[in-house]
Amino acid sequence: MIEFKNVSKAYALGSGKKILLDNISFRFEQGLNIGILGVNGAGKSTALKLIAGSEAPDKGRIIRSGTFSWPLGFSAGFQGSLSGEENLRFICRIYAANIRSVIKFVADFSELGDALYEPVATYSTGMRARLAFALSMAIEFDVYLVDEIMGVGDRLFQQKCRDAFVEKSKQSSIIMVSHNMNTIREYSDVVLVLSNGNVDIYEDIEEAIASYEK
Amino acid sequence: MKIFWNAFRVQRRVIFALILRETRTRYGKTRIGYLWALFEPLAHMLIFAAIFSFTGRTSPLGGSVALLVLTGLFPYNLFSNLSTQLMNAVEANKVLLSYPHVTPFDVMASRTILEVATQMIVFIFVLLILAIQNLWDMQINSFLSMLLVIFVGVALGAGMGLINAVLAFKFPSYANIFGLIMRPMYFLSGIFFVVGYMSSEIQGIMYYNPVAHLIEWFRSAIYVGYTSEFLDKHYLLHFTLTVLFLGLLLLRLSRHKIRQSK
Repeated sequence: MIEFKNVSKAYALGSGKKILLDNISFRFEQGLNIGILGVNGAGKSTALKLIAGSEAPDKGRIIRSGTFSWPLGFSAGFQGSLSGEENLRFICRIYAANIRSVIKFVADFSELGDALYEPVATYSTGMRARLAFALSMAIEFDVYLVDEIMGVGDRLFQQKCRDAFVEKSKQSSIIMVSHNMNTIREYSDVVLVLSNGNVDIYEDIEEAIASYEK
Repeated sequence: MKIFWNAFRVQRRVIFALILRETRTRYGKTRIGYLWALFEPLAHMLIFAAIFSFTGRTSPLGGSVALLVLTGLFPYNLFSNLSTQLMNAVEANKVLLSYPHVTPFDVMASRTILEVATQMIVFIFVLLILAIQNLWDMQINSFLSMLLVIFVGVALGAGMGLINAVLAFKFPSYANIFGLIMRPMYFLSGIFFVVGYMSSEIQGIMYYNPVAHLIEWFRSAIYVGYTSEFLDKHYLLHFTLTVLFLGLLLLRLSRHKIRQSK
């Protein structure tokens, strides 16, 4: 369950202020997959960080029950000087996940091979994203927060991600930010469209996409 | 109640993970890496002790010069390392603050624990070397006072470090300014001499330096029969509590901003 109660959030921008969320309230129950749409800079990623709790609202309250992942994105929190495996260990420790089984899963899923033991700084964007994606699938959460991470790697890997995601969505729900309308169509039950500090909620995906593309 | 207990468990987990990670990034991947971390302050102390011993200086407190240097450098390093390590903690852990579980406070706490542990190990190790070399008679005036002074030193260093961390976050050039301030501190804290035996003019100037009091107190706790005329415990304790409170307050007030920065 995630609930926003009169949440406001703004960023300092030069001399002025950019309002991303202006007194927003909503509540969604567990089990609903949510897609978030909005133009660049509308505050999609910030909304995801607020949901995750890695950023705090300026005003209002955010209430969540169940376990939430960190926002999974390309710029996932990996320490460049450490190897992929060492980064995994750290994240397992903070989420109390079994280190050995997570590393085994990630090694199989990510297909990174020996690169898993090289510093993350040497990874390409695609490799990082594969590591991030595999890791997120290895740890159990009630809600997965996904920031533009679908469509990583080649066709085969994409298919693998999709399968893993479908499997996950049986027990867990997904809140995702994406520019890809097909991805939104495929995974979302509800769509939030962000614009000028407002959030419009659509249960009809096509309606949401139409309003976003307008 | 259960929520608090859970939050506490998460925090303990996060701090432990941060400590392990920090030993990896700072001291390298080999097991010998952490030994290097110990070696640096160890060499620092031993070299100074050796230089002063060879130049034939004697300790005004009796006993060896090496012990004088050790009892000065240990409290000083505790303060100086904590205040600079915490100052740089945000920058070094920026990526990890994107995990909701990891808070700026956790980052500070883990650095403090690691730094204090390292300094303590080095101190005990040097004491052992001095004991083996007959440079220390293995007497401690008051073990309890010694622990208390270490505790005060940690609070003072961590408090200063928290203030530094927030100031360096708001004003990036602050780190250089603090470095500039700390340089004369090395000579104005009474590491290589005993403030209590200095002229009253010099004592008057050094009075405002809390680290000078820290070192004097530490020496009073170690040396049997030394009571410092210079030491003002009230001043040191007031200074320490103020700094610690201010540091925690500043961190609390700016914790969201620290998180948000990229």
